[in-house]
Amino acid sequence: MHITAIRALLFILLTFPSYFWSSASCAQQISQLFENQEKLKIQLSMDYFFNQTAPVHTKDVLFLLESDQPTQWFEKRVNYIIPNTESLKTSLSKEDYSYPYPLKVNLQKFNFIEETQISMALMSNVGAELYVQGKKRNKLLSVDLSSHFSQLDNLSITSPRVGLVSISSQYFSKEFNISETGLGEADHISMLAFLSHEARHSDGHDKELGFPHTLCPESSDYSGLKVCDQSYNGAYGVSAAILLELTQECRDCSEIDTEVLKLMYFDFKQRIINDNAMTVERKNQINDLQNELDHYYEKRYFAVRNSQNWNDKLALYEKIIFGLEQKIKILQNTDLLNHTYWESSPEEIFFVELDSKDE
Amino acid sequence: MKRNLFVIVFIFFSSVVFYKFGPTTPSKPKIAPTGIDPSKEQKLLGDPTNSTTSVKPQKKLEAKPKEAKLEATPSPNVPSNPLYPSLNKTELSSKKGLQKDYFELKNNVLDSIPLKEALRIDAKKSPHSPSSSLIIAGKALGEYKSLLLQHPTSDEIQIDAQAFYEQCASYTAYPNSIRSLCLYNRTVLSKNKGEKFDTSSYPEEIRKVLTRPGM
Repeated sequence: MHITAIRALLFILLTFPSYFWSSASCAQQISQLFENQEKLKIQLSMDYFFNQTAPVHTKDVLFLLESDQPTQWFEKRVNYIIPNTESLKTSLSKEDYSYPYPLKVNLQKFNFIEETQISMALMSNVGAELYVQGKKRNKLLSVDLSSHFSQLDNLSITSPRVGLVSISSQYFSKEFNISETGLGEADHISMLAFLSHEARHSDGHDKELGFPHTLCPESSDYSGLKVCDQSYNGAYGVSAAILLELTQECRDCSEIDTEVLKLMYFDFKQRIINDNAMTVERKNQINDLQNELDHYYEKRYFAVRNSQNWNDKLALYEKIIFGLEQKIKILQNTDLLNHTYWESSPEEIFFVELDSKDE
Repeated sequence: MKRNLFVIVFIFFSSVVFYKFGPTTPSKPKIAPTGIDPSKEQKLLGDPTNSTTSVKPQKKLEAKPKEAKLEATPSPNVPSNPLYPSLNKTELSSKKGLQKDYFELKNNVLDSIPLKEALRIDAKKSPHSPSSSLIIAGKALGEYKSLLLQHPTSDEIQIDAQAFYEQCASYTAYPNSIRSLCLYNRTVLSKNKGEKFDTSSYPEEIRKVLTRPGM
């Protein structure tokens, strides 16, 4: 324990000068409302990510990140990191804005994060959430961030990619620490995986706006909860890929750290739903087909026994039975498969700011 | 002056003597293997390569049935189940040395693994990220695995660990992520011995996540 503490202290002392330097050079702005220890943890994780020396990325990761380097990809999607606060001041514009891909009738389905979950989530892509809320009302939302950043007053939510991400103070509690101090390499990797998850919520358009989560199938640990992904390039796919790659590169990770990260990786992976997963809908479908099949089995039985021209009828029934059996077989196949890919290009509303025009 | 020097020299030597031969407080290591002398481990478990005594292999054979009759008490997380004897907690009073450390860590693992239901409740609270109970379980599993990797020749703990990982991967009340990790570790144990472990009997969602495309 002492050795870990000394190592952490040395790490902090050695990186102390770069802390000031990199916080100026790093694209992500970290709110001044974070506690010092929290800010330090975020900053060290960012530095760890951006100062990785010539990382070799696998084809899979680059494919998932639309051929961008992970740091570039991340920079496009996460710009402001703020503490999870209920008192985020938002304002609505007076005029109506026309959003691209107008919402269809059912707004409930469109909710990618339920409101009850917003305040409780450890991390949340507030920018994407506010964009959806603005879209629902056809108004442009803007957030007052003056208390968080000295050089920024209002942030207009013109796209889910404004990159406003919040972190709950609960995330910094001891229970989420992997190393003793919470400042180890494994902790940085874990935080970056979570942030990459939120980064993916900055993407998507139309029905895939914000890369919404979907209901988990019965076979999942989270059956019935909206914490799974339909596409393999969704938030969990990306965070799993980044987690795996950083874990493989990790130099200071102990066997214990690696085991925790592996477990997180499996947790993320199993949240990418199987295209073939058994759902209630699918079960009902199989049931219906089974009933139909039973009906034809019966018909075939009586056709064989009673009918005079049974040859024609029997051939017909055999054909129907074969078709139904094949359909049931396909529906019963639950082999893992996911070919669902979602386009990442985000929505954006283009508008001319009247104030700047007057100037 | 000379007297002071004598006192200092005396204190120095006495502290050296105290350090070397003084009473030692038995501190319980978190990762047990680091505090265990390999020679002691050989004495405890019997080393098949040790040819000094011909009696040792017999002793080892005698020890195995005892191992099979572990005095197991049910874990609070796992109801006592005859189908999963390896998932029952072990009474430590009869264990010594490496075995004690091993079963202590195993009991810790059994205590820390959350059941599926608990994980679902946690997921409702923090939907996007793994629950803290998974992190705690991961740490316990990591400590357990560290010990196994540091003692690859200790047949008794290796055999028990194999059974544990297999049953952990099969136990449906455990979360799939834990089961996948157990299956993964089971294959690692076999791989370390140059053997292959057949995973085909395990469910698709547990098995395929290990080699799923996109990894």
